Amino acid sequence: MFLLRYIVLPPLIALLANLLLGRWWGRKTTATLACGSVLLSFLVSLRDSYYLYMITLPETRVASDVMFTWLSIGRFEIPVEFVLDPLSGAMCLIITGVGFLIHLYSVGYMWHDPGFRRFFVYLNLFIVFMLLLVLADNLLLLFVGWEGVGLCSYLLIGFWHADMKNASAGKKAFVVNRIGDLGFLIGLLLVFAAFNTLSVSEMQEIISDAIARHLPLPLAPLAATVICLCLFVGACGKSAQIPLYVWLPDAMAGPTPVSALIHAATMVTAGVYMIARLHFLYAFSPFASGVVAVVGAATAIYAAIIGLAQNDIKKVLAYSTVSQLGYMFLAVGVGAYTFGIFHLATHAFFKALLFLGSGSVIHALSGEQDLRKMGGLCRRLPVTFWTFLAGTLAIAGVWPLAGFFSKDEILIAARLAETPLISGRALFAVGLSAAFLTAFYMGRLFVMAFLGPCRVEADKQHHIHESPWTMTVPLIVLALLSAVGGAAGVYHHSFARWLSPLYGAPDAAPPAVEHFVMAASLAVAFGGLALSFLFYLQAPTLPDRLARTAGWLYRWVAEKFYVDELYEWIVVRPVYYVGVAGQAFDKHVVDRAVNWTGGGLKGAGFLLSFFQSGNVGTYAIWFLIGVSILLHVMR
Amino acid sequence: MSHLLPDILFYVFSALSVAGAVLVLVNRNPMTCAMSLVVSVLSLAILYLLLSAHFLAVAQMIVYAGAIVVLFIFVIMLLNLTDEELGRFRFSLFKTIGAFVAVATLLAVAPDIRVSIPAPAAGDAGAPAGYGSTKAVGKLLFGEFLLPFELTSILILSAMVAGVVLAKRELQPKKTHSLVDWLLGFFRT
Amino acid sequence: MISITAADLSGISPALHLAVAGIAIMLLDALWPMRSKLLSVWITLAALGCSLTTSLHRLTAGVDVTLFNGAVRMDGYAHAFSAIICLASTLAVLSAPKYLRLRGVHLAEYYALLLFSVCGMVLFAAAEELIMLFLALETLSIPVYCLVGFTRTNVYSTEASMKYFVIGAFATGFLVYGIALLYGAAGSGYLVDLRAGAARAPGLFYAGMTLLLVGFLFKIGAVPFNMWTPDAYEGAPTPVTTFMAEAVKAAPFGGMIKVLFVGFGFDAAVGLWQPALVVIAVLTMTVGNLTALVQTDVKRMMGYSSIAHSGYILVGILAASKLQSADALAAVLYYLFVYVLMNAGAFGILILFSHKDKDTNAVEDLTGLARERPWAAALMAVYMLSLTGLPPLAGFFGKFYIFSYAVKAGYVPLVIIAILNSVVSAYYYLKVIVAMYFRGPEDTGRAAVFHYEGYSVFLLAMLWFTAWGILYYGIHSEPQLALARLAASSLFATAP
Repeated sequence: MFLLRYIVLPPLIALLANLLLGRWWGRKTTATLACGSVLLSFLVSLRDSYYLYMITLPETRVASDVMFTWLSIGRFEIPVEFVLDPLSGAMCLIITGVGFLIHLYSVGYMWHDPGFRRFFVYLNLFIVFMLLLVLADNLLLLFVGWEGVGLCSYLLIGFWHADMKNASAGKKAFVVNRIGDLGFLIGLLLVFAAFNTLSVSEMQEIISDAIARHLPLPLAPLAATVICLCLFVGACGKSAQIPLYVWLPDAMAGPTPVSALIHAATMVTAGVYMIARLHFLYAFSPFASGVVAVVGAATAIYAAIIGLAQNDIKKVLAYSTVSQLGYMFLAVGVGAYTFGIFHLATHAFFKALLFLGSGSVIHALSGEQDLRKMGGLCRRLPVTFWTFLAGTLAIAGVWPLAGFFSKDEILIAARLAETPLISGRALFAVGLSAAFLTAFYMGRLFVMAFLGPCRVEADKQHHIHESPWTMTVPLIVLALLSAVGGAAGVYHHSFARWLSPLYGAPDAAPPAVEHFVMAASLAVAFGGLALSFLFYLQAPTLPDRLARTAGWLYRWVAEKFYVDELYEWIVVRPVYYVGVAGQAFDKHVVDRAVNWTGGGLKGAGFLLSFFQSGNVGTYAIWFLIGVSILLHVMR
Repeated sequence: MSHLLPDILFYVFSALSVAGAVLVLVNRNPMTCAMSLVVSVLSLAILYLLLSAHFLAVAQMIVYAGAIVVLFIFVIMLLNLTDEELGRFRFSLFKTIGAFVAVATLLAVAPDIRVSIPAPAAGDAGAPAGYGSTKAVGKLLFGEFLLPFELTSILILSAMVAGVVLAKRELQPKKTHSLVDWLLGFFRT
Repeated sequence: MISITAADLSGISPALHLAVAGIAIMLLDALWPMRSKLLSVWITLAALGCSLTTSLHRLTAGVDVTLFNGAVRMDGYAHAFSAIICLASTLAVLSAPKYLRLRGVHLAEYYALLLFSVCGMVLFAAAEELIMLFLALETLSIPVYCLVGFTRTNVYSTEASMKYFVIGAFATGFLVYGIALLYGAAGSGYLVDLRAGAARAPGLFYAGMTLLLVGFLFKIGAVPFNMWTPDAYEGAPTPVTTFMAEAVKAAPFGGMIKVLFVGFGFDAAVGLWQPALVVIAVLTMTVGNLTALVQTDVKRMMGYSSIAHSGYILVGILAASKLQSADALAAVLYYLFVYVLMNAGAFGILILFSHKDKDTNAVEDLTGLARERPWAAALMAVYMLSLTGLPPLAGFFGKFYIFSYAVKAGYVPLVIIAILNSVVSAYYYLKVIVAMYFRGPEDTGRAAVFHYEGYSVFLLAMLWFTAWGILYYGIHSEPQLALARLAASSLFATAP
């Protein structure tokens, strides 16, 4: 017996209670309700997933729960139906699990905010829509969740709306997402035209039926390509891929738990999830899959380069998120759906951890976000320091932390990929370079925030304090997950086997390739980290303590000063300037293009409003012109 | 010859009707305009006669030429506009474009209409006996077109109310006792 | 000789209730002026309620009668339009009393005129014959010209009324000319006979068809016959704008669809109206949305938005005519129903905060609303998001049904243009939300105070009903769609 609807209901009830009755009770009740409901969802998801696991035949591991018939147009019916299969089960666990931790964290983070209740109402609403998105069998219901999470994201980005910049960031997110939704909606309509249904399971049945009985497929290769590309445009908008990524860095204007939950762990991965869910459509169109892979790889490296030159701690993490999402698209683009989802899971752990850690830092420093005004926080914020270290090593891909395994698998898949657009080697090279840059900027971030001399402004110095337990406990749990989550996933291929009903058992890679990729990715991870330590720790004002703890490094750095300068001129400076150029490109060309499109439309509006002179005679003339054209045309 | 006479009359009076309408548009003096309008509506009445619509022709004369234009003339006389107030007729780009487009529209319709008017059937003896008489029109109005006829009364009523609302000076009723108040008071005492 | 049967009278009772109530209000006002105002509100609501329930009842019962020697036909289609229009008018009436009283123009005539207009609308969708069609259209229009100028002390209101009247009379001229030509071509004014004219006298027929179409396109505000819309919407008293944006908007579609489907038909030889409508639909959506982008006045913006929505509805009509399916036409009816709810609500919020001396019209006037009046802001946000077409609100499904049938009918480029347009429209609807939620007095430099000046129980009921409808009928559109299908199939039963 599955209890699918009870995964979605608890947060919904909690949010309604907080919304309607919240004013009569205090923050503690609000917080308990909000967090407790998500925990309950998590437990129900866990229970249902376990029951799913208990079904012996992997192919039949699907459970569905029809709540009611939502609408029907003639023969075409859309029930509100939830479907739990291994993929949506994994997503539910991530959403409710990580979501619960972030809820808990937010209690401490938002405690003093006057909009406390509103914040939790939005947050619970987000969880509801996100669960709707992943549990929906019908694409239209999925679209409801899709738009709903967008709306919540928009509300939460602009949460501190006293600042006009936040409001416009929220608006930018909304408008850019609408452009993506345009593609999604067209894709949806085309799917409906082709299959006459929007139910994923029915679509799959139609296709497998056609294959089994050697009937012509319901869609031509070209149609499949067009549909897949349209849907991918939607995914680009939601998951911040080139060229629709511009909203995500701006979205960091929202409170940090929001960045962790929505703009790192869950919502932005919806695009990856959607493609993984519709993998059978993408299987028809190697071209569309190739496009997904290329856009993913390009985003991975492009965002990583921009990340090099950022000084705002959350901006670095934002570009890092865009880059990691690029990895996931690279994975699903080359057909490695299992590893795309696997990376989605591990990324949810370590990126949520990094965001929450940065939130803890910002919280301790009374809202300071500039990396140049941090440093030396390792002693003052020990829990944050150690957990952040775990997150940094995980994202950099250091063995045996989570990021290593998922990234490694993606790189192997990219290396072996055969796409009609680009060779697997090129994808692999791009992915590896991005991994190197990731290690480098994360090392830089870590060093600038926690190591080195303290550059915090004097008036904020005495405020620095470790966060309350509601904030540190989630950090510790996420750090543990970031550390062991990856190893647990590859142990006996447990994650791949869990998803095998959808994607089949993964092919074993040739050992030579596997070892080569493993060595290469480890090398770039350590290389990137070492280089960043080398460069950012050798500043002249380095405190003695650090000199002693990392004495051999310090001496080596000091002695090899010329080499270091060489490094700076050959590697760091060019990379830095490329980063600056990338940022400038982003700011001046991409942003402008977005603005110009809006401006162009507005200009057209102005021109058109000139026709509206207010003079009745003019109206009559336009009217007459219309009539005579019509008369000529209709003859 | 007798075949030609109705045709000649038709062309003469339709030309007059159009000319009258154009004069209404281009004249500056409202009195001249009103008189041109009379020409136009009377010519139309003749056209109705030529189509054996006797009742309609008479109604056209009484209602339009008789009532409506007279009303116009009253208003014009009450306002008593001088030549200075009226200004002179000026050509403007605006009017030129308007005229041009109007003629273009007309030209767009005219050729099609001309070539496609169905020729009368060979045995067509024209209008049946009594066609266009008061009796025939009455039968139509209270028979086939009963509902449109009734609807017209609503239409005219609402047009009247609309006119009064827009023109009345004092909108709110004075604090006087109405009939109902008086009756109610009668019961109260 | 005079042949009115009891069946005739009971058959057109949805229209009859309204006309009788209108006349009763006039009499009451003459006899008892001191008490007539509030009474006339109740009489109006009662009459609209009677018509609404009668229409709905007959729609579900499948009543289909031809009355008055074939002048009107009260079938499912006419009853459905009657229901939509009565609902829309009820919402408009609910928003009016307090607003008019504040401005000293709370007159019984308002309700009488409104009822006469609604009576015309009901008959317009039922008309089976061109003279009837024309008279119904005029009965529908003339009271509205007056209502637009109802606040006579307001210059803008008077100006808007005058403009609307002049250009409306101009359009009527074309309509009548078209009717004359069609009659000449077909030799009969009945809609079912019109098509025969295409073979008898093609030139007359096409010219007549075009001119008749022009008259309709003017009423629905399609480009390039749309110029009156923003002026009239902006100048009219807000309750009248409400009425215009929903009832006066929905009603012309009733006659238009009927004339197109029953009168002209879908035959390629006659169906030249389809390609012409495609072009007009594209122009209407695009011009409406682009011009709305630069507006700063909510009422004016809604005027342009209503032009754009006419474009979407035209897409639905085209899809229905290509597929010739009742389901596709049902989508159009559902869209109209939803459109009525969204517009009524949006204008209701403006009325709620309109001061006695100054209407709350500019987008800027709503700055910071969410902080002071969170519920009102939330309602407005629901209306705006629904107009944008955000699921799961009803506005999304309205668009979704129309677009999905249009794709089925093969109008893919048209749908892409329509969706692009709805993306553009997100921007200006969002402007309102941004002003309410994300800006405050510090941005505009003047303290905004929000008093519920226009508050009345009527208005409150209207606002909650519309918001509930948008949320509820988004999730449960099935009953509404079933009714719409019933109505649409009764039209297709008579169409060729």
